[in-house]
Amino acid sequence: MIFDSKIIYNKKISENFYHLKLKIKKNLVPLPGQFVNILIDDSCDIFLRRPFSIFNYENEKLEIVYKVIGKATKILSSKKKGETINFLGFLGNSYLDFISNNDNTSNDIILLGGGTGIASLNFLCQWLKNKKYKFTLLYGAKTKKEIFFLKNFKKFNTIFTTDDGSYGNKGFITHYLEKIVNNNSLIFACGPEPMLLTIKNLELKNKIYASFESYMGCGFGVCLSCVIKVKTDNNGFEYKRVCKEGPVFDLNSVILEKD
Amino acid sequence: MEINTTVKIGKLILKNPVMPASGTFGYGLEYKNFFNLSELGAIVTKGLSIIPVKGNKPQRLIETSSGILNSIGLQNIGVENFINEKLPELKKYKIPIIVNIYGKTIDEYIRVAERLSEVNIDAIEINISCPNVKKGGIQFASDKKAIKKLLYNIKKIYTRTIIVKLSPNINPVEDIAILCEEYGADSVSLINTLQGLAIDIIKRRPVLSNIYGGLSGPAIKPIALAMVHKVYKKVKIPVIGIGGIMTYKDAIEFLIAGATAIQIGSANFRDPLTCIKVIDGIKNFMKLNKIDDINLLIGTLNY
Ligand SMILES: Cc1cc2nc3c(=O)[nH]c(=O)nc-3n(C[C@H](O)[C@H](O)[C@H](O)COP(=O)(O)OP(=O)(O)OC[C@H]3O[C@@H](n4cnc5c(N)ncnc54)[C@H](O)[C@@H]3O)c2cc1C
Ligand SMILES: Cc1cc2nc3c(=O)[nH]c(=O)nc-3n(C[C@H](O)[C@H](O)[C@H](O)COP(=O)(O)O)c2cc1C
Ligand code: FES
Repeated sequence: MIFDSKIIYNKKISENFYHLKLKIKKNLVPLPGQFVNILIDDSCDIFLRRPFSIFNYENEKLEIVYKVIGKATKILSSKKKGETINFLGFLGNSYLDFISNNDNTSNDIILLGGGTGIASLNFLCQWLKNKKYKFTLLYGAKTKKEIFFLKNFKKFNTIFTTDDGSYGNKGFITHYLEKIVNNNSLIFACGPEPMLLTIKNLELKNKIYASFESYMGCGFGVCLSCVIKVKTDNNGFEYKRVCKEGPVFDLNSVILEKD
Repeated sequence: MEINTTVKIGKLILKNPVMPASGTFGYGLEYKNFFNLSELGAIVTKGLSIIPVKGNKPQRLIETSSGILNSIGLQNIGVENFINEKLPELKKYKIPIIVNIYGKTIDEYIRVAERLSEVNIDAIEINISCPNVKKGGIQFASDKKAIKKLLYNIKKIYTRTIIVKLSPNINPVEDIAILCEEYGADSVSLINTLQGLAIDIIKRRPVLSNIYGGLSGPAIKPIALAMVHKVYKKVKIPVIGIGGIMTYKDAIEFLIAGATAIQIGSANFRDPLTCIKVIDGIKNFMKLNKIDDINLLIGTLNY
C-alpha cells in the first residue's frame, strides 16, 4: 500500500536521532516488527526509498525514530511539519507471528535491543503491555547520549546498559541476557549483526527471534536484493528476503556472515 | 477524442505499449496490491531457468548517481515452479505474459522454451547477457554463432512470439539485432544493464560481492535511446525500448526514437505505480497533441 502522510512533527531527540510522527488516513494498522519504505525526495538523486522500522502506532499516528547517517537521513531530518511523506507500508512480517496465545501465561519474554534496533522493540513493548504480557527489555547503547526516550522505556521493566557505563549497567546487554534467561524464556532481539552473533554464540536452547536489516532495493519482494542465508533441512541454505519473509527470523536458522 | 494505443510485437497484440522490465516485477503477482495488472500492455517475468537458481552472495545492489547497480545473479524459482505456482493466477489477468528466459548452455534455453510452449505462454524474451559455461563463460551476447544456434533451435520448438533481449555491453549492438532478425526473432528488446563497478573507499573493496554489476535507471537513458534508435534504423522487426524510463515523457522519447513498445525497470522500485502513470501520461499526451494513433509516433525522429 502506498501512503501519502502529513508530518505531525519531525524532532531532534538527541545528537543524531530524530523522531518523526505521521498522520495516517488509511484503515490499515501495522504490527510490531513491520517497517515502512520512505521516498526521500522527488529528484532521482536519492533513487531508492529508505526502510525504517515502526517505532509506534497509536490513534492513526505512525512514529519512526531514525539516526542521521548519510544523505537520505540528512534530507529526511530537514522535513517540516505539514509536509507530505510518501511511503510504502506496512511491510514485512511481525514479531507477533512468533508469539502464541498461551505465552502470556508465562512471564518470560525477553527483548534485547541495541542502537536503532530499539525502535521496533518499542512497538512490541507497547503491544505486550497492552495485552498484559510480562516481559523484560534489555536496552543497550554506546553512551547515555544514545539512549532516547529514557522516560518512555522506564515505564517498562527495562534493564539499561551502556558500553561506557554512563547510564545503567556498564557492558553489553548480551551479558545480562545470560543472567536473566531461563529455560522457557522467549527471546526477541533487534540490533546490529555483531550483537545478534553474540547472542547466537551463547548457544541458548531458547527460541530466539531476531529482526534483521539488509540493503533494500524495493522493500516489497521483487528485486531480491535484501536476501539473507537461511538453513534448509538438507544442511544447505536458501536465500530469503528480509523485506518479505522477514525482517523477523528464527535466529538459529540464519547463517550470519561471520558464523 | 478516440485514441488507439494498440501496438503489435510479432504475434502479440498489446493494448498499450507499456510493460515492466524483467527482474523488476517479480513474477507479476507481487504488484497486484498496488494496481490492477490487467491495465498493463503485458507482464514480463523475472528471468527463468530450467532449475531454480540461488543467485549471488549479498551485497547484491547499491544505489548510484541516478540509478542502481545490481548483481542479483538471476535468482529464480525455476520454470516448473513458475508454471505450477504462479502461472494459474497470472493467467486470470487476461493480458499477454512474456516470460524472460536464460540458460547456462544452449540446451538449457531450449528446455525452458519447450516447457513454456507446452503451457501456451504468449511470448518469450531471451536474455542473452549470460555466460555460456560450455564456452568458458563468454557471454552468449558476444557469440554470434551461439546466438544463431540458439534461435535456430528455439524456433523449432517455440512457435509463438520470440523476443531477443540485447546487451549494451557488446558493440555494435545493431549487428546482433540484424543477426536476430535474420534468424527469425520477432522482436528485439534493449537495453539490458550496462556493466559497472562501485568501490568502498575505506575497505578498498568492491561494494557488490560479485565485483561487477549491471547499471540501470535514469543514468542509462541517453545510452539506451541512442542504441534503440540505431537498431531501429537497421531492422524491420519491432524494437522494444528499455533503459531509465521514469515518466511518460521518457517513454515517448523511446517511441519517437523507434521503439514500438517500452519496458520500465528500476523505476518500479521507487514508485510501484510507474507503469500505470506512464500509460495514463501517454494517453493524455496523445489527446493534448491530437495524435489519435500511437503508431503515428513510433520512429518519427526527424533530423
Ligand atoms: C528493515 C529495516 C529497518 C530499519 N529501521 C531503521 C530505524 O528504525 N531507524 C534507523 O535509523 N534506521 C533504520 N534502518 C536503517 C536505515 O534504512 C538506513 O540508516 C538508511 O537507509 C540510511 O540512508 P542514508 O542515505 O542516510 O545513508 P547512506 O549514506 O546512503 O548509507 C549508509 C548505510 O545505510 C544503509 N542503507 C543505505 N541505503 C539503504 C537501503 N536502500 N536499504 C537498507 N539500508 C540502506 C547501508 O547500511 C549503508 O551502508 C533500517 C533498515 C532496514 C533494512
Ligand atoms: C534488480 C534487477 C534485476 C534484473 N533482472 C533481470 C533479469 O532477470 N533478466 C533480464 O533480462 N533483465 C533483468 N534486468 C534488467 C532490466 O530488465 C532492464 O533491462 C534494465 O534494468 C534497464 O531498464 P531500467 O533502466 O528501466 O531499469 C534486471 C534489472 C534490475 C535492476
Ligand atoms: S528489497 Fe527488494 S526483494 Fe527485498
